[in-house]
Amino acid sequence: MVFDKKKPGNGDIRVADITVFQLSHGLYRSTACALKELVNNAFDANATEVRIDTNFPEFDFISCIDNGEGMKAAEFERYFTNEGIGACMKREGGNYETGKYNRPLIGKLGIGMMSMGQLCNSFEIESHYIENGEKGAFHAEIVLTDVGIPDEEEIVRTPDFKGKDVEIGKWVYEPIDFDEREKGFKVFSTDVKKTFRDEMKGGMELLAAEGKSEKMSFHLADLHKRFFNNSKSVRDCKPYLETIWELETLCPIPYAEGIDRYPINRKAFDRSSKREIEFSQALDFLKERQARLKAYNFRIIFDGIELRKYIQLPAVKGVIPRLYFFDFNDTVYMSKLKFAGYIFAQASQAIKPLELSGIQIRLKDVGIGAYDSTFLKFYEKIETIRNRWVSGEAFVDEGLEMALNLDRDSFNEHDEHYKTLQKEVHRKVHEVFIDIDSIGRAKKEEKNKEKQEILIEKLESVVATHTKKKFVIRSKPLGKENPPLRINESKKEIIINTDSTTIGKKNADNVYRFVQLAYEVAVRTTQPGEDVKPIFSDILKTILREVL
Amino acid sequence: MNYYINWDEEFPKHCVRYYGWFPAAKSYKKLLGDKDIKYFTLCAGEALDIFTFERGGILSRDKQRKLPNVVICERNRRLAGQIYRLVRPPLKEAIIWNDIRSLLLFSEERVREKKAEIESMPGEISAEKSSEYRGLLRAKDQLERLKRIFPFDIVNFDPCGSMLDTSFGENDLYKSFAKFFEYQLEATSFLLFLTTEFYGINEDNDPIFGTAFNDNVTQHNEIREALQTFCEADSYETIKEERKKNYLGFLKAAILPAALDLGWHAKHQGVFVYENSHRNPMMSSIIEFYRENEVRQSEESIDDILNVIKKWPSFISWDEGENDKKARADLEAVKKYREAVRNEFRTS
Repeated sequence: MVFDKKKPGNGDIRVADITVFQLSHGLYRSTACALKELVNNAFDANATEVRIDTNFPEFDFISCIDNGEGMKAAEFERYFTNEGIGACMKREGGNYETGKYNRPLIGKLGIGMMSMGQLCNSFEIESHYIENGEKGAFHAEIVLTDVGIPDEEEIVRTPDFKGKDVEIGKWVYEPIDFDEREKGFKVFSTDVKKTFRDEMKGGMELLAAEGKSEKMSFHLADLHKRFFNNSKSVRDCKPYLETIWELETLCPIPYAEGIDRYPINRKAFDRSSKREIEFSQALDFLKERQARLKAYNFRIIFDGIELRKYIQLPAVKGVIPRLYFFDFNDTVYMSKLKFAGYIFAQASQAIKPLELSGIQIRLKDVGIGAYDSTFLKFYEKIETIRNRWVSGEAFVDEGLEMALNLDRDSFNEHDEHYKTLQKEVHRKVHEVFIDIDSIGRAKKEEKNKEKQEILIEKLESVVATHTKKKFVIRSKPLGKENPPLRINESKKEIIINTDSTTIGKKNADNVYRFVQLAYEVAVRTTQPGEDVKPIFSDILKTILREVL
Repeated sequence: MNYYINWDEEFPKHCVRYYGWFPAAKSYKKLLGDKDIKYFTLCAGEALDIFTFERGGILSRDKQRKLPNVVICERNRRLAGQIYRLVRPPLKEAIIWNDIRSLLLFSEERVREKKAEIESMPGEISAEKSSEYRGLLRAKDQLERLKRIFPFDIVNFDPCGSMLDTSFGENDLYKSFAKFFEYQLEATSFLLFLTTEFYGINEDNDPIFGTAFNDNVTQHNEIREALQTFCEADSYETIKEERKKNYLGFLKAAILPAALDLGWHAKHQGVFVYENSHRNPMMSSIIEFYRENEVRQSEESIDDILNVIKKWPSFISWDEGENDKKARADLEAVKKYREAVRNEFRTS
């Protein structure tokens, strides 16, 4: 329609091609998020295996090769000659499943392949496919950065820029012979971005300096020993391993073998916890989920390592673990929303590795963003230390897709489905925090009690030594308002006030009580004319050294 | 159009591995004693040479089941990934993916020229924006990596293409082959498998081969006599067996000068001409290069030429290769072994 500023009017809202530019040059938070998009495409194409290689430790080559149904030439044409990037046909005809292995369809926009644009300046694709019984294959090169291809800044600076017909790259297509052995889709590049290479290599150089890269293992279990045993955070393991970790956490693959250990380590729970209904519900749910993930029949092999979700809760000893379950299945804003999940909490130590603290939202079994340590902005009680004791996963099987942002890594927080999910998570998290708070407090009290007993024992010993065993030493609560020591000369008895010698923060009050105690013992036990100072000093030194 | 030949079914080629490369490598390994063999190869996606040698105990994996002493150069980007997954190459260097020509013939001057060319274009264009320029920088980086790994004990110079389809003095493949000797300078000896297309030989090469070889014939009676006895010829031009003629010319005009100029001298352990699946002849020679004093060097080269005249090249036709039961059985065993290794890494 023609716009006339002097007349009222209306019309359709259109999107300028420049917006597509961004899609092809990087939308994703991290390397793993970009790779996740390629993996999702393989999953949707019914591949049973996708192999990612980075030419570790040089990182000058990236390839992602699957054995799925491949990209049809018609799809290539649609993307690159007709409708452009984002013209996805996956859900045409109301498809919500891939048609094999009971897999839900993940993609909907058709921008996944372009995630390579975030890691490379140019890349190649090769596809061998069968369409309606007809075999086809092609090879194509996609160049996004080269002389003659303007960058975003150049485009918007162009004086006659109209926002349309923007050239964001070049492609070269070549039909090739179909090869049954090569069936599937391949995307690979040697024109890797320097930033990617430097980031990955940088980490390797640090490992090499520590003599660790030589010991780099290609067994997933060994790599995970680093996360669980040697590091507080996955980030300590440098970007390459962090990428592996992130990718396995995000992708629709099973947990590591041994459902009695992954993701929930049952052995760590005591009998009473195991008798909790929620414990059984959560475990039954995870068992069913693991069976579903296995039934997808989908493997990711990253530089030769077959990835599995290596989540183990708890991964440390000496904690009190608890497991909770939540689910939701209802119509929200006229469409179905269905999710379920578990929350794990441990008192009183942080979850290891740190990246697991929070809640991971999985949409159709694909992680969206990282574990959210704010629990979807749980403001009711801004937790700090205890946030790190809690980890959970929420699996959304129906709904919420409209809330998903373009980067498939975050949600539109004003979406009704998102709001409902948030509310349910907050409700559960609130319960968990109350529970874990009381467990934590009880644990702390018990621990303090143990410490108190040791403290009193030590004080008795110190006082007995300095009074040269002329007094009988006893301990009993005499009230916090009373001095730390009562001496009964006639009974030759010293009573240590346990109320006045509590374990707690080493604050001024406590120190004062110990000084007072040392003074009382010194004064009461020195002979007339004897200098009290050295005895006082000696007792105080002993008490502080032994007790604090 | 298929990208590459299925090497798993190139039977005459495996005869060369089985009857030529493997026994030579085994003897050479024995000669070196306990030393781990450092192996350079242009092995293609199937990596049959690597698995032949690994299976035969010439190459061994480390505790992490990697082959730390194998360096692979591959120009096909898709195959580079395939080889990486299959072979699990050295930890530090990984696969060097590039054309051996671009790599070994890399020059800083070319980088400077390209940079100047791009920056002289209208507008403010950074050279890094050019894929061609980025390619040159990558080659530079890869060559640096490769230089750090030299020298090798066994070199499998088995590139795609021909050293002889143009005048070899202008042939990039030949030039990169000659360059290889420079980078090998720190070694005292090494074993070379040199393979090239042996058809479509450029006419310009023939007179060069003739002149080079005839010099030997006139200067050394023993060569002249051997030529008469074994080839019924008295000069390069009169050698009737085309394959022998071409190889002797190539040896005298191309291989030996590249080596001798840098102090290496040669000892042939086999020369094979075999047919590929397109029924085109290919040549693969097995030569041990080593250093000795200069007097012996000259003598040994004559001995080596005499050896070639007397014994080689052996010819393996497609049919012979296809029907060679021993080599076929070995090929199957190597493939089976490769599959076992592949399966070993399938899950971690």
